[in-house]
Amino acid sequence: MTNEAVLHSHIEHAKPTGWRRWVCSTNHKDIGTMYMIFALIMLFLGGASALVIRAELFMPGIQLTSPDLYNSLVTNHALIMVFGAVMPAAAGMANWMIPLMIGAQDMALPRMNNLSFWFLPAAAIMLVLAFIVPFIPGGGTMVNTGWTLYPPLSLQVGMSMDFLIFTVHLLGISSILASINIIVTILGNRAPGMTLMKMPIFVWSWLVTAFLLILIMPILAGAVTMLLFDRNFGTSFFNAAGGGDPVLFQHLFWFFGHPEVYVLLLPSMGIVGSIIATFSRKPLFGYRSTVFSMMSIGLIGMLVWAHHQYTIGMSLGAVTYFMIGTILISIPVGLMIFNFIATMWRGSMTFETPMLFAIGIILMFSFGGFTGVMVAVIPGDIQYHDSMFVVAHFHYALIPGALFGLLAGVFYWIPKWTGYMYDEKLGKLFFWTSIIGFNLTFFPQHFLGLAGMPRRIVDYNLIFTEFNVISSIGSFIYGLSHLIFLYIIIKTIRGGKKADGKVWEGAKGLEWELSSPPEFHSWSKTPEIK
Amino acid sequence: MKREPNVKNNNRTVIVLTGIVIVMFGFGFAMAPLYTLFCNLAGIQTLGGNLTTEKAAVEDTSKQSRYVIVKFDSTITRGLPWKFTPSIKEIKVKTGEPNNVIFLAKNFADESIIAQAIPNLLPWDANTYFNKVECFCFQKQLLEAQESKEMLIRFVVSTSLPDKINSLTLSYTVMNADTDSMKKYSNERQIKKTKNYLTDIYFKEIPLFYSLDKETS
Repeated sequence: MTNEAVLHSHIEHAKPTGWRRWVCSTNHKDIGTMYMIFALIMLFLGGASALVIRAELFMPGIQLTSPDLYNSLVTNHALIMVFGAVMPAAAGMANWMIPLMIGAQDMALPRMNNLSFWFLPAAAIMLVLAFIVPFIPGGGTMVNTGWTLYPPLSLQVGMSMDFLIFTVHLLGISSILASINIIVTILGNRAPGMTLMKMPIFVWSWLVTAFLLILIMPILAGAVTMLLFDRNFGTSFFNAAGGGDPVLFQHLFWFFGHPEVYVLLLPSMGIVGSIIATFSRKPLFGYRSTVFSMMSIGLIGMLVWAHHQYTIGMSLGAVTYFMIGTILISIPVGLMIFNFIATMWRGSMTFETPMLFAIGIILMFSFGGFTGVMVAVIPGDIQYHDSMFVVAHFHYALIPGALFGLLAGVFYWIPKWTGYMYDEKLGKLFFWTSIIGFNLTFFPQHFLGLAGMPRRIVDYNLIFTEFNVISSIGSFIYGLSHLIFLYIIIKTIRGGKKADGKVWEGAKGLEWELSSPPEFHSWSKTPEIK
Repeated sequence: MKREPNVKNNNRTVIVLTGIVIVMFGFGFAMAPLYTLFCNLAGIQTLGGNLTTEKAAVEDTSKQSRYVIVKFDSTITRGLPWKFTPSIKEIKVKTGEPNNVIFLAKNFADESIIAQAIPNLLPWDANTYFNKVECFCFQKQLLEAQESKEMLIRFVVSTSLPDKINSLTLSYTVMNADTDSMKKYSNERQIKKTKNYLTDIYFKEIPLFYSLDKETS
């Protein structure tokens, strides 16, 4: 059978039913849905571990956990949120929306798409095992390294670290495959007339993200493989006693870790860009410059990794380079934000839930960006390093920058996915409770950090009590507000007001020309863009 | 109009992207030797770094020589039941002349243990001017059960040391060279069980200043 014949038979075969529809799925919509359900489960898992952390920090002293368990929870919270919640949710939206947006029938490599999803549950099981194994007698010590997995500590952890290393491998393979698929789809399967510079901004954001992922994920895979060799096969990549250097791991990790921040950020910025254009009823201001700022964020982001390691003792020349490079990133990021603001300028704006989130993101993400410039400056960073200030900074950057963007995307596209409108009142309620909870949680942590409270420590000095109490109360408001979100989603899936094809009045783009929900095989007749 | 995606083009893209992935994976591993190379070029201390012969290091001190202070420090990492301390906290040395300093080591375990000391010199700018003629850090060191030993470092601070540097700190981190043994002693209870770990009389009797032997100069 030729390739074309395969394609034909794929398009024309009947809609599968039962468990085969999901397990053997090659349909981009079903796989996208599975990605997002997986991400939602992980969001609640990661959120639960965060709430245990905050409950422990509610009062000074050690009440609920032990120092090891506390750090194990910190590790799990980070890994689950980054690799389990945010990245799969973004990948799920890419799966759902990119083919609809560029007029493709499906992703270019549907079977690989299935594979890259099914790596994730396997990885999640390994991750949970890494957490559970130390509770079993003879299971070794807990993974108390934090998500950075720095040696020498990670060389001394028991077998749970090996589970974690394989988790990272599986996650890495999954996102590499997904990225290859997305790039191939975007480059090869666009409808005629859809030039690169006509693509919706969300597609552009994912093209940059996918390139970043295939450049950095192998580095992380290599680094944890070396860790695995050091732990089990007696090599000395990072083992100083054998001539290795633990600092090398930090360089490799952050060569991955810093662009990873932009991997989390960019898809959400793509979503925010399309939402603001829709609800301002204007085309995106400065489309070209937004695209180029995304590209330069990716490019500069790959070159400034060592600003996470100012305190390792680099030469003055090196830290100066990393400082200037890091501050430079604020220019394209700022350009993107200003483009979003200019899009709103004199637009006829309405404030549905997605738009509220988008505006919230602009305000709060900018705040996280400003503290980012603070921690980029070396003399300041030596003070802020490993304090709660850093925790506050990256939560201000990542929760609005990544998570709120994805939530906004869910509200924006869920009528398209399910065919029903979500409950606007509940949506607004969710927005306000989560925004208040979020700020209540993380704003006081700035003060805690500046006053000298270190991160990743289970206990703290009495003088930090008040702000920690506020932060913990806020975290419970924020965490529990997601039950409203869950309720909204379930309610929307089960029915409600019917949504028409063009859900939002100001929405422009190919995806809104299809019915809501779209046919199982959409764009079997390829659209043409003039 | 019905348009099939160009499968051939897509296949080519897949191959190129897979190539990038493989190259980046290899790049990660290539970093290990490249990083060592970089450290050597940049003068960052590595194992066996700063080793010179006595002949090359000793300089004529009649023209330009001054005194600088060299401070010593040591750290034992987890999983090594040793005590390891410099015999003196700091000495005043004349640049261009060789100096001997003794480090005192004792193994508290009931079995022989091999350890490796990793040097670190601050400030970094001084690295290229600090020449070691002899050092225990160039080899792994073996101590038998309960054995104590004096370990020697013989070094010369170059006369061309920049004027702004008046004080150097040489710090050693000592770690267990055997992974299994390290894991065995990583358990803190194990260390506490090892007798006399923190209160050994041997170290209490160290004189603050150890006489420097100058018989070779």
